[in-house]
Amino acid sequence: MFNLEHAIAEWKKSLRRNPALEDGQAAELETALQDEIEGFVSAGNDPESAFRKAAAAMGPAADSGREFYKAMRTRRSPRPPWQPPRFVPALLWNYVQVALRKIRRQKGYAFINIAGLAVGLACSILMMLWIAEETGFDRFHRDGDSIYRLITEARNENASILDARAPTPAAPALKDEFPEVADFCRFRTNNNYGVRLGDQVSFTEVIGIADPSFFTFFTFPFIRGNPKTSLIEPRSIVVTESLARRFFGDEDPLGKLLNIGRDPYTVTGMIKDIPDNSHLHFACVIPAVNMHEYHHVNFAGWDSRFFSSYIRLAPQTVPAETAAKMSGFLSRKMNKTNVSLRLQPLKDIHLKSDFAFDLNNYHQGSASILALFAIAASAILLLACINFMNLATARSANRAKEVGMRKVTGARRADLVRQFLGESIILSFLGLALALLLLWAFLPLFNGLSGKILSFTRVFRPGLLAAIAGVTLFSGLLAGGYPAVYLAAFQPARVLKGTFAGGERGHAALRKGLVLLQFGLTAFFIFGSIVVDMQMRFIRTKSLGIDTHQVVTLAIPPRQSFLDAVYSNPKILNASQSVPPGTNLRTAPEVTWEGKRPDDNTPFYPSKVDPDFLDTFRAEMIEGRFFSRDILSDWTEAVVVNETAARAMGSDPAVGRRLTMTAMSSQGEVETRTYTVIGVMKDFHQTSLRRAIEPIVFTNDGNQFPYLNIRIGSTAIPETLKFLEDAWNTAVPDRLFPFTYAFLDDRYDAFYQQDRRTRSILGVFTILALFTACLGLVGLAAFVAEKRTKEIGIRKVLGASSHGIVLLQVREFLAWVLGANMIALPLAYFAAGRWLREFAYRVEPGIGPALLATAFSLAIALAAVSYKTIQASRANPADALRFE
Amino acid sequence: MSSKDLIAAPAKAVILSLLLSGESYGYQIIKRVRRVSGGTLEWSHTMLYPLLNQMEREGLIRSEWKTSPENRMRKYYTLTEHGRDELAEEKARWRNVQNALRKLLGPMTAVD
Repeated sequence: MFNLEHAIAEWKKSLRRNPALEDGQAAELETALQDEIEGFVSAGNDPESAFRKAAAAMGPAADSGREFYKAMRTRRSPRPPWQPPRFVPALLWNYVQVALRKIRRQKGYAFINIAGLAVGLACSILMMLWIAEETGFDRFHRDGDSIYRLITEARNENASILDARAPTPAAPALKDEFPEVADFCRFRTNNNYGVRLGDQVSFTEVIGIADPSFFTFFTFPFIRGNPKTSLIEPRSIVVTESLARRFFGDEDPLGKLLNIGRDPYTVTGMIKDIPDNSHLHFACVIPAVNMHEYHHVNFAGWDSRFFSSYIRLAPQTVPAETAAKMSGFLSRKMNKTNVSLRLQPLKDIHLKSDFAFDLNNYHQGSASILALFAIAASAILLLACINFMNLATARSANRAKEVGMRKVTGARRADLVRQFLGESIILSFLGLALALLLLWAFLPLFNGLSGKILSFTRVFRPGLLAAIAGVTLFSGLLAGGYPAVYLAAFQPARVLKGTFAGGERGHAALRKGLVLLQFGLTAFFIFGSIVVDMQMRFIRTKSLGIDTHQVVTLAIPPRQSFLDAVYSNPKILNASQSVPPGTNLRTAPEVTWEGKRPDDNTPFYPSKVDPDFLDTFRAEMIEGRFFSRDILSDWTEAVVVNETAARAMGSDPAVGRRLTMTAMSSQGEVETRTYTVIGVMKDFHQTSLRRAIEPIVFTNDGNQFPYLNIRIGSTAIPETLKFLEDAWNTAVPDRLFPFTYAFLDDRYDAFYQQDRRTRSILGVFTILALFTACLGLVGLAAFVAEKRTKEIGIRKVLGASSHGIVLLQVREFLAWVLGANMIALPLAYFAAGRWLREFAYRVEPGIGPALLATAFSLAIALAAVSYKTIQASRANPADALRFE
Repeated sequence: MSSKDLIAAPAKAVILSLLLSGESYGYQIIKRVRRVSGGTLEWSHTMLYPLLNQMEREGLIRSEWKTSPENRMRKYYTLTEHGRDELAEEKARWRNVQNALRKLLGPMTAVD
C-alpha cells in the first residue's frame, strides 16, 4: 500500500544525503516537490503516480547538488570539496615508497615474486627471440610472397609420400602451360665436387647448381657482376664474398678462374654472404646445364627428380585457384593417376618442411616444436603469476590496515586498485631486469642445446622490445589484478576494528585451486620429460636388426686400386659396396610378381647391394640364400627381399618366385627387368624408427653405387682410418675427391637429433617450472606456518610431537600436489601418446612414468615445504604463546 | 549552444520580469513560464533553484519563508531596487540581441 508521507520522507532523506545541498536549499526543494504533487493530484492523478511524476520532475538529487554547487561556488576548482581528487602527485611518491618498503621488509617474498617472474619472463623472451628468428626466414626476397616450391606427392593406398623435389621438366612446363606462372627456377646443392684454385682445394663448400634465372628469381645482393647475366655462360660461377676472400684475398674475383672438379669456371659475380635466415645456403652457384654432364641428368625425363623447383606466381594470382588448376598436370604428363604437385609457400619452407629428399635445409625448424615450447614458456610465466597472486592474497592481512587507513582518509577503491597494480607492475619490471640478465648469461647454453643461433642483441630491436615490454606489463597486470581487486575491497570499519582476519573466506579455495593448477602444469612437464626420455632410450637400445657399430661409410669414386688396398687390409673385417642402411630409399616405379593382385599398390624400395652386404652389416637370412660372387646369374637375374616384402607378396613362399621391377638405373634411365627371388632377409630398420619397416628388394649391383661400407676390428679404429685416408690419397693423387667418411651409428643418430634437442630443452623447462612452482609452495608454507604459530604452540603444550606437527602441515600440501597429479596426468598421458604415435616403433609408457612423476613432484614439494614447517614445529611454544 | 543553454540564457531576465508584478515562488515561476511561453520554455527545478539562490546572493531578489494559503511553509521571492535596475539593463541587452538577430537571420514570421 502506497504511503505518500513515507515516500516523501524517503525522498527527503536522499536529498539530505547530498553533501552539496545546504539545509535551506533542501527545504526549498521539498516545498517544490509538495507543490508538484498537488499539481499532479489536482490534474486527476492518484497519489502514487503523482508522487512518481513529481519526483521525476524534480530530477535526481545529485544533479541538483551539482547545479547548486556550480551556482554558489567560490573556489576556482570545479571539483566540489567533498569529492576526492582524481590524482594526488604526493601520493604517487608514497606508493613507490610503500612498494619499496614492502620489498625491503619482506625480502623472502619479494625474492619469490621477482625470481619467479624473472624465470617466467626469461623463458618468454627466449621464446619470442626464437619465434622472431624462426618466422623471419626467407623474408628478404623481392616478391617472396608469390614464390612457391613444388612438392611431388605420390599416393598409395596406405600413405602418400611427399618429395621435396619435382620432376626435372615440371617447372618449365608449368611456365609454358599456365599464364599464372610468371617464372621458375630449379636448384640443388652438391658438396662432393670440391672447389679448387691451383693447389688449394676445399671440399667443405656447398656448391649450388641452378637455372640461370636464379639471381633474378631470388634476391641475393650482388657486390660485383650482373644478376641477370651472371649464369648464362655454362662455365660461369657466382661466388659469395667469403669464398672469394678465401681464394683471392682482397683482389677483384671477377673474370678469374676457379675449378669445380677438373673443369674451369669463370667468376662472373660476387654476392654478399648468405644471411642466416635463408633456407638456401651455398658458397657458390654454377648453371644447371652442367648437371647433364656430371650426372647424366635427363632434363626431359619426367621420372628424373634432381632439383628443388620453385615457381613465382604472377601478381593478382590466387594461389589456391592456381594449385587447383595444376592438380591434374603431373598425372597427365607422367601418365599415372597417383602423382600430383603441391605448392609450398617460400616462407613456410623453414618451419613446415617434412619431406623426403629435401635440400639440407639450413637450420631447419619445426613449427610444432616451436609451438610446444611457446606453450611451455607461457606456462612457466603463468606459474610465476600464480605465485604472486597466491602470496599477495594469502598475506593480505598484512596490508589490510593500510587499506583501511587509506580508505578512511579518502582513497576510493579505484585508487587502491591502481596502487596495487602499480606495485605488481614495478615488481614485474624488476623481474624483467633480472630476466634479461639471466637470458644474457644462459643464451649461449641454450644455443648449444637447441642448435640455434639466437643473438641477445636482437632483444633490443624496437619490435621485440615493445613485445617484451607488453608481456611484462601483461604479466604484472595478470599477477596483480586479482590481488588488487581483492585487497581494495576490504571494508575499513571491519579492518580497523580488528575483527578482520585476512586470507580467508572463499579466497582460500581459489588459492588451493591455483596451487592445483601449478602442480598440474608441473606434473605435465615431468611426465612429458620422462616419456621423451624413455622413447629416446628405447631408440638407442632397440635392436635395428643389423650391427651398426664400427662401420664406416665412404663416398667413393670407382678406383680399383683403392678397393684392392681396402680388401687386402687384415684390420678391415668386411667391406661392401652397397647403399648403406640409414639412407632413405626411393620407391620403385613399379614392382610386380606372379600372383600379384591388380589393385595392390604396396610401394617397394629397391636397394643396391653386393654379396658382402650380409657379413658387413651382420644381417641375417631367414630363407633361401644371399647373393654369391660365384654364381653368374646372381648379378642380373636374382633378388633378395626382406621379410616385409615377402609378406607383401602373399602367403606363398617368396623364394623361387619371379619378380619384375621397373627402377632407375645408375645412369638415370628407367629400366624394367625380371628377377628370381633367391632368399628372404630378416627385417632390419633401413631408416628412422618413426617409419615402419618397408618392403625392400635387394639387387646385386652395389658396385654401380658410389658407397663403400667398411667394418673395422674393434681395436684398430684410428689407425685403420689413417690407413684408409692414406690409401685414398694414393689412389686419388690429384685430390679430385675428398676423403670423407661417416660412422653408420652417426647416420642413425642423425634421425633423432631434433628429438634429442627436444628432450634437452624440455628437461630445462621442466626444471624451471618445478623451480617456480616450488618457490610458490615455499612461500605458502612459510605463510601457513606463520599463521599457525599459536596453534602449533598450543598443540606442543598439550603434548604433540614435532614430527606430528610437521606431518599435520605437510599432509595438506601433499594432498594438493597429489590431487594436481591425478588431474593432470591423464591429460599428459594423452599428449605424450600423440607424440609417440609419430614413431612406428615406440615405448608403451604404462603406469610407471605416472608413478614416477607423482613421486618426484611429491618429493620436490615435500622438500620445498618442510624447511619452514620443521622450523615452526621446533619453535619453543612459550615464544608463540607469549603474545596473549 | 545547445537548446538547454538557449533556454537558460535569458532566465535571469525572465525571472526579474515575472517578479516585477509581485512576489512568487519556484513552482509558480516554472508554471508561469510554461504558460506564457505556450510550452516553448520548459524550466527544470534543477536549473531554477540554484539560479534563484545565485540571484539572491547578487542582491537582485530577496527571499522570505512564509506560510502559504495551503498552510505550508514556502519560500517567496521579491524584487529588490537593484533588481529593478538590472531588469532595465537586461531588457536593453536582449533588445539589442533581438535586433541583431533580426538583421542577421531576416524577418522571423510565425511560419518559420
